[in-house]
Amino acid sequence: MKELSERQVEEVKRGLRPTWYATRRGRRTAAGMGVAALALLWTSPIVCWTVVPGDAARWVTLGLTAVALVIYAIVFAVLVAATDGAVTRDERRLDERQLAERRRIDALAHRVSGYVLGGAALFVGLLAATDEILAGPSAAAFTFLVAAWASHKIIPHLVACWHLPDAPGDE
Amino acid sequence: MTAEAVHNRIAVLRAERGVSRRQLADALGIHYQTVGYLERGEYNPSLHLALRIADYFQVPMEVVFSLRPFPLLGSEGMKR
Repeated sequence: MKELSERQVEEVKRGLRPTWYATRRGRRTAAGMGVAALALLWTSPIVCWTVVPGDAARWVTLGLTAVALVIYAIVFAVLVAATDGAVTRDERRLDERQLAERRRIDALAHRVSGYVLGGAALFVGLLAATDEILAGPSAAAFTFLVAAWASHKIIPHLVACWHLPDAPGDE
Repeated sequence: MTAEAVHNRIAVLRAERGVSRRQLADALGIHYQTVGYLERGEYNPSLHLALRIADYFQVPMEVVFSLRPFPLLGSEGMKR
């Protein structure tokens, strides 16, 4: 990810109400919105599976993905503002506290991702148990993998949004 | 406060010398919010950072950090 400059971070902050990024309640609301965005992405493979691929499934999938992206953009903006841009920064440019915080969040996100992907695998496994060969539209497999990839990328941000303490002021 | 509490007098030393959080952070090469977390006792510095903080204020480590709370100014603990 490209690192944002101080000016860009300030622009992001100007575009948001401080209650969104400077209060725990605001950040946790954003994290909840992010979970909803992720849920929309996980709805896509189900739609592709149940609605035979065609125009309807395609448009529903594209619509869900677009809505999820818009919601996630807001969540990410909140996280950028709350961390003063540190979320976009390379590890080498973080100080020891920021690095420790990122590693703690990555470890927690790794565990959450494990539960999400494990749950998805269990769900597919239960479906597969009903048939000898699990046959489904390839679009469902594709959207399933997209949702899994997005979960891997997004969950650390959601965990960070949920756990960030209120930052001390400048003085 | 973290489980392994390390008390510090960074805020006192900073106020005494008229140094802002940003100035101290810039001198130490850390984020200004990290100074705030240190002062609030929500983050314990590494030995390296602790030594650099003491070096910045030109005082021994034990003047800045302690495992026991520092006595308040004017209290019995300050009288020797």
